[in-house]
Amino acid sequence: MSIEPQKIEIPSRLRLERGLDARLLERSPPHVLRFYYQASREVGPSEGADGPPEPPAGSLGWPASAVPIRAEASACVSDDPLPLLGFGDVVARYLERADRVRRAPAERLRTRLLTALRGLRELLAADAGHGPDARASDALSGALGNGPSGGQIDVDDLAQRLPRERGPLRVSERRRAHMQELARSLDRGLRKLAEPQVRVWCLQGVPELLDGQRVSCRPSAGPYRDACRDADRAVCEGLELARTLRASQLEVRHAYEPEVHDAVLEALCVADLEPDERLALPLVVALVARTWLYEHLAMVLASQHPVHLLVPEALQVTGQAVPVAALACVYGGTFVLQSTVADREHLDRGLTHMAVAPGSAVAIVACRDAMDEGSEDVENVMTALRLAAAGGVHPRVMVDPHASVATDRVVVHEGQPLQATMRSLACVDAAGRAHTLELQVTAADVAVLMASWHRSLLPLAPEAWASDQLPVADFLAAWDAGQLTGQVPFVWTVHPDGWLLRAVVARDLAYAVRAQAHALRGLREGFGFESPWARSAARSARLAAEAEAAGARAALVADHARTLEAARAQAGSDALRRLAKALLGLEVGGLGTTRDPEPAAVAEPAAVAEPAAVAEPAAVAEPAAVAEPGPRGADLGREPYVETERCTTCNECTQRFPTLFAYDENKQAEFIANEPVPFASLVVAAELCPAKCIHPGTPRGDDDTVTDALIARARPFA
Amino acid sequence: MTKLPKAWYMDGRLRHLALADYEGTTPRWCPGCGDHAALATVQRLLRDEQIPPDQAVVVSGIGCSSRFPHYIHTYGFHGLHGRPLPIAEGVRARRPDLHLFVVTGDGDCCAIGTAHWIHSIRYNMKMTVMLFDNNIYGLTKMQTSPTTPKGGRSNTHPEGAPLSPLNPLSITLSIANVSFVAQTADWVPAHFASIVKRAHAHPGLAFIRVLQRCPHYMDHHWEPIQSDPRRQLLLFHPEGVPAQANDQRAFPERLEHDPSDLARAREVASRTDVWPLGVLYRNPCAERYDLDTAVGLGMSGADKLAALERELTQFEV
Repeated sequence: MSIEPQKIEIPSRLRLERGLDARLLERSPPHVLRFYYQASREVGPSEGADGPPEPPAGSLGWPASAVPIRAEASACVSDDPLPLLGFGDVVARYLERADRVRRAPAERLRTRLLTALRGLRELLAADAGHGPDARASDALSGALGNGPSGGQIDVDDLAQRLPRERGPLRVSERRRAHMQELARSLDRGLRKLAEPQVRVWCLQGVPELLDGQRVSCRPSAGPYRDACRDADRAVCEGLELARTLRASQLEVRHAYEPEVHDAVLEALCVADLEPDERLALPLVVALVARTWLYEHLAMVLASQHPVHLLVPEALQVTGQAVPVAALACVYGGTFVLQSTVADREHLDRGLTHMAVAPGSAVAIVACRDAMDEGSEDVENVMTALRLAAAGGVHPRVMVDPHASVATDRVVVHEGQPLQATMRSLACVDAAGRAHTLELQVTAADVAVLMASWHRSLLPLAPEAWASDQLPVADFLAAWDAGQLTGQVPFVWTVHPDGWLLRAVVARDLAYAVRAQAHALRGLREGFGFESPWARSAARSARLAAEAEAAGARAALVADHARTLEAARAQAGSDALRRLAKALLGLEVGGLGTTRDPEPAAVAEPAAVAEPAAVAEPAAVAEPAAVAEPGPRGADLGREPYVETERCTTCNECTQRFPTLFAYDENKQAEFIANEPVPFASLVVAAELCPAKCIHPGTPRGDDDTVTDALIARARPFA
Repeated sequence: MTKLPKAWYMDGRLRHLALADYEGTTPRWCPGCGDHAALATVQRLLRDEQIPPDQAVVVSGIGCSSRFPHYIHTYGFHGLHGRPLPIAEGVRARRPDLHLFVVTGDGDCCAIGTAHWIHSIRYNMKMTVMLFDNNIYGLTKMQTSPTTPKGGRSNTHPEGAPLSPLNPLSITLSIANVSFVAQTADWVPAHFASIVKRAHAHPGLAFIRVLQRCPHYMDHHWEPIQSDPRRQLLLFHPEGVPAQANDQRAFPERLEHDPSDLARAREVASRTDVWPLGVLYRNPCAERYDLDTAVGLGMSGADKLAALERELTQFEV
């Protein structure tokens, strides 16, 4: 099948009509290629965030209504007019959210600690003031009416007062020491709560504006390692504090008894914290580089230290970050956010979810700071980021393993275009005629804006355009379909003089774009979005169900027709019988054929039973007689087979017995015969094989070539 | 038609290269010959590394094994008897971008080509040299070769070879600036593949001696070795060929051998009771002559002419 060589017939020279930011081009080095789109219909020129740019004097003279791509791309994914965030901004936004969601749980925990501490101190004070027996006698006297208060016996009052006052009244030295220890622990916990509840571990050079009363920044050469230690210590302290709190509450309310309550404490307190208490634990955040994360990703996901990692994603087209979400699903337990600052809404929502995520969490955010190496043009990077977001180059995925057990709840794949993003590019040719190109955004279009990929783009003047050049999207489709016959991929670019050029994509960039597209598609299919396999399975199931229903319906119709026919025949014969009886006073037997099966029923059973009784015994006895001695060569093993991995590709078996053996894709022999094979051929092949990797197996019972000598020859290869 | 630089053109690597892409003419070696295994091993390596056929070259001398370039679909040079290594050095000097394999035999390398062998080892130019050692001259119908075992009958010595055989491993290990020496056998395809892969990745000349059956003339010699695993000593080490989980069954005799230990390598290579299989010696830091020869690559014809003119003007009177 041949490829359609060119979808759009392009005139020889084209120039951009709109969408070119001439000011940006003037600042650019002349070799830098740029790719711009016209403002889409949905946005319109008047909705551009920055308004239409003024055409510079003496410049190329673009129409005043032109809108630069930066505003258009921004409008595609977000209407936020603010400039794109840097990594420091992302971190600050996250820390602010994390601190906010932790403030209320921390306050609640503080209140509980204070209440328990106050109760303990009251008990200690009561014990010191009254002694072990004084209050018991007072309480009993009061309850019985013989004490200073006088009055009648109140049973309910007695039941309420005695258990509560029994503890302090029987306090021992050991228990008093335990209560004092609990009080000291609670006091320490309260002091810990006053410290910053968000701790950030990072390399040197983090802006100090992050540091504050509620957030502490700690420089480290190994941020993740130190953060893990810090987080583990925080969890241990939290567990100990929770245990102390529960023991104190038991002490105050129910007179702590170690033999009874320790088992309960072990089961309730140490095993897990309540969600509210977990939120009150200090949050440990580590800022690491993306290269570090990708090298240690499996370790991070598998170890699941309760550390939140924030990682800046570089502007790239290789789709390297895509498998992170899939890996997170495999490992489970880790919250993963992949987002981009070009989609501010998705980023904010993801950060908010991550702030309350218990346990480990990873956020990989494509941001302005992770600039393309070699490019100093920040605006260019911002444009590329927005284009990457609109074109689905940067994945926007949220994996929250604590949300549900269902995959479609765990993985939130919003913001990802399920269909290819299309953009229209308006241009005029040399004769002044207007043209519009409908283009699909791919990772190669993003690469045009990145200086590091310029070595992989070869601009072609219109004179060099040929029919074997395909747009990258069409090229990838033909590639996947195995229909390439020498075509080369290209993207549309704009030279600083305003002329539209084709830039041929080198193989490394083509591979990167293809890998990115495949990874994104795999992610979608793996998570159940836009899966052709799922659609195919659903279609097959629907067709099978429809076929089954149609069959059942046809059977019902046929059954109904038979019943109807029988009823009609029966009704006719009954009517005749009744008519004859009424008219003639006779019984008419021969008319109702369906009601009179008696004569045939009597004769049938004997005729049917006869042949079975005679023939069966002889037929059954025969196989038993054959099976008695057992097949010859039963000790040789199973079916004939080849140890393919040991084959040395010597051509012996494949040339001598081409119908029995053939090479696999690794050029090693395998057994291919489906029909019965003479045992002698197998034995000869086994003897010829220099690697001794052919095993003839057990001879078939009906093989006439099997002799005892042959079996003896086959035995060494069993 | 679009004219692109070669490195840009996509056709060569658009699809995954399969073994069929490396198959040349139909091999005419005897069925059962170990050369088939070597051919398949090199083809699998090229396939696994996805090296396009136009970026690999195989140079050979004369002999059964040296028909190798005809049967593999890469660039090839079927050279003179004993001279594959000088030709390969020339290829390496001017085309360092190619993946270079040298195929030679025990007669080709250890008899008529001994001088080139020694100096090539010392030059240490990056290439993978495979010595297919079947202990006999097979192409010329069974004459004694330098590695024929003492007493081995041949047409030139009907009463048996009078001298002890030459040990290619010991000789190679004794040459100055040796950088990679390994030994494998054609009947252990997995081990053969791992050795060739290791050698191909080695930065320098990688010398592999392949113990190879000749089913027609030397089957009586190799059959006992092949069928008795205790006569094969597997050398394993993380720096050489790492130990595999199923080694124990195929190789009951095993030895952990550090390939950076030259003295120990010489000791292992000189053993006569067993045939060591594995990487005996490896020194990735050895000097390389091809780094010096890669001068002036990429010069255009005009540049070369100008340089020549400059040199010649020095002699102007």
